[in-house]
Amino acid sequence: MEILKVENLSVKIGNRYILREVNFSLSDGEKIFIVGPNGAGKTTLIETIMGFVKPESGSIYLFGKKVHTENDFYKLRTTIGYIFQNPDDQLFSPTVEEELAFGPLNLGLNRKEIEKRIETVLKNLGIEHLRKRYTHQLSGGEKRIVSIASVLTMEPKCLVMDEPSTGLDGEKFSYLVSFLQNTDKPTIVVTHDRELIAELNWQIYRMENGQLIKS
Amino acid sequence: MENRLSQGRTLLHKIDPRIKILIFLLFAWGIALTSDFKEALLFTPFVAILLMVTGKNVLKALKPLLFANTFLIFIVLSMVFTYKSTNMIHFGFLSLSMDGLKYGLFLFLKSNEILILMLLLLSTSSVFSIFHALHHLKLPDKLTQMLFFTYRYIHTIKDEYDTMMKAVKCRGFKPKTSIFTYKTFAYILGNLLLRSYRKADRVYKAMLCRGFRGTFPVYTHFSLSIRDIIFVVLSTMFFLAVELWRF
Repeated sequence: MEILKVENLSVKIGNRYILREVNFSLSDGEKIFIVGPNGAGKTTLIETIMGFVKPESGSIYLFGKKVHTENDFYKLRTTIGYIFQNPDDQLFSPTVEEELAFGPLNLGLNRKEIEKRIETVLKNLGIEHLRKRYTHQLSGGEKRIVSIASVLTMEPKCLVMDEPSTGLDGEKFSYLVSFLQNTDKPTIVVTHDRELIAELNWQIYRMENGQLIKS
Repeated sequence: MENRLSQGRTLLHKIDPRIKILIFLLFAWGIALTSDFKEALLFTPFVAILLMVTGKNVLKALKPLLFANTFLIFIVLSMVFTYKSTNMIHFGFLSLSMDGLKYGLFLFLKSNEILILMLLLLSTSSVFSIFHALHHLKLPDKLTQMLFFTYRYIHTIKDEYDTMMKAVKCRGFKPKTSIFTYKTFAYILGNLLLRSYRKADRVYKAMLCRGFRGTFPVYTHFSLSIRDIIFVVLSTMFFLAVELWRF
């Protein structure tokens, strides 16, 4: 089943085209890399999909339905789990527990269901010991894992990760690789980290001059 | 980021922050309305009991008082030397006003009582719990969110400022009274503003990605215990007794 589809997406900022006629889709079970040098437009592509950048032309489809109103983007944002490049931007609640509950509370879930989700995610990621910790006191690697956990409690249909390996040491890098290998969710990883690309045998899309080329 | 006093296991740490805020406001209001030294003294037993409950942490709790009292002492001294009254003692060219001393000490006592109550009742909860309690006490949502985010990110902004200061120092910058120094600080402040704006924008996007629609939901909630109710009843009884005695 096709979850996300991007059709002829172009983004122009000032006089410069950041994205030119970008096309791609993500289906169940698919895991892809979007690679390219800094400034190639990788983050702009993700931000456009999430509705933060207005495209000049083109369409985005979620489960075959065109996304264009603010309500459509609300649905998209709660369906696609977007993990930011800098986990510090993503962690704003005082404690890890509150951070993990933030998304499900916004979805209007009941307390029992939220508790169940928090426990499951903490256990699956092996971070039960971080539950009561203050988010700003976590190490860089812990922040990265908690930022992933905060998205997983929303039970998204797919994951989009922007430069997830930035600033990770060897142990946390292996943890990330293992997570990406084992997750059953369709995943898009935006990166320019060759080591990460080499670790995972995924389909690669290359961003060049604002265009996305399958390689 | 958290005040050290908030970590503890005393009775005051266990009291619901909502109750502590209300009791603090009640007593602060009562103390502020006292009109002479004797009336202000009536509240000291309550302050003393709270100090005893704080136990070993009492010195740690009162440390910030030293800072506040350095200012208060100057106010008392200025009242002693400038307050005009018939009851004056003269030492050469110096004239000390006994009424000034009386009012100065009254002010000193009132301020210290309120400050100690604030330190004991509010500092024994984490700042985030206080904001959370304010939310439950029906302070407008936008205001509590602003307080929460200001506190959550003030240290991030400070870190950014420190980093920029290190960067300029690494390039030989020494602050002087010169246009160049003012310009440098203006650039730093401008950058800080820009970075704060960008950070706020990214955090807001992260919140939108997790379904944020204007209301900041809270997962953990407070629950009143017998201990809280006893604390409220005893404190209120004390307060009412003092007020009855005053009138």
